[in-house]
Amino acid sequence: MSIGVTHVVVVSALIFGTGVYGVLARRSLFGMLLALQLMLAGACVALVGFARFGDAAVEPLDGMAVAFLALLAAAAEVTVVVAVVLLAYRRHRTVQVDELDELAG
Amino acid sequence: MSVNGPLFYVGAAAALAGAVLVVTGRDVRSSVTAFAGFGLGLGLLLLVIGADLVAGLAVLICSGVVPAVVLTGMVLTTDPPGPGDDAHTPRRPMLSAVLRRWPLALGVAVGLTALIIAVAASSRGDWVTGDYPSELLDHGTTATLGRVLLNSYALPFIGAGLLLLTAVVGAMVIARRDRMERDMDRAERDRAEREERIRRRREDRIRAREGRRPGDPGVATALPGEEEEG
Repeated sequence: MSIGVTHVVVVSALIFGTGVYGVLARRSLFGMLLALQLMLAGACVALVGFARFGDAAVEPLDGMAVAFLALLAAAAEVTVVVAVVLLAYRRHRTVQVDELDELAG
Repeated sequence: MSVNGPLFYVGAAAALAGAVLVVTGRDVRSSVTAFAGFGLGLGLLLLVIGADLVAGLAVLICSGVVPAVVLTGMVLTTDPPGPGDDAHTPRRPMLSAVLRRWPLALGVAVGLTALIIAVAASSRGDWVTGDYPSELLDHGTTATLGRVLLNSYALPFIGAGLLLLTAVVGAMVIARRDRMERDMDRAERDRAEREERIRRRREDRIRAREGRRPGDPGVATALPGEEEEG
């Protein structure tokens, strides 16, 4: 059985779903950040899959270009989020989201 | 060029196993290690599909940048064992927190995954698929992707560069300590040192009392440092 776009979409959905589980289950800000990266990686896999198995005559490699830019944005996101976590830690001495309830009202 | 089936499954299994280990890791350190493994699996998966440049970037970011930045953040957010801390006190296991919330999280994740797969399956007939030029895949997509990025996507490419620069500068500005935080840190350090001095003085006094014998000279007098505590 040859590999097609359906296989890639299923794998990307599974990676994305694992990331969703991590965001909801983890309470550490770092754990949630890693799970968010999983979600983004899942989306990138789908983009690359559609670019690879799509009609090359329409827009060649557009999906790969978007995935490339999305991965660059992910690197920037990690940098900023870690800085925000550092700031939150300095003020509250914790990185557990349950204890960061300043805005809870 | 067709995709190598066994290699695709190996890459997919490695990526999925890494992803599962990331979200079920006992602590963040093991999750970061699993994330590096996930990056390698993802790179293999993308390489097998035929996206060599994106695969390289994915390995670079998922197995290099993200673990390095997160580990640095972890080091900076860990309290060093101070004078009053018990270094052997076990930290609250993160696994217990995961176990408390897993049914709801698992339900939402499975539901969302099923929804995505269902939408993909229902719209599959409308997809326009085709064979990719074999010479492009045999010789790699780097040159073509570079041309696409610098022609059709020149503006987003420059924007991504600016975004990275802004993120680095912004992260430095956010993480910089302001005056109030420095004052708070100093006050907290002074308080910890004061408490440590008092604790040591109390221990010395207890040791001195336990070591003296009845009838020794100076029994009735105050012990050294006792008058300072009040």
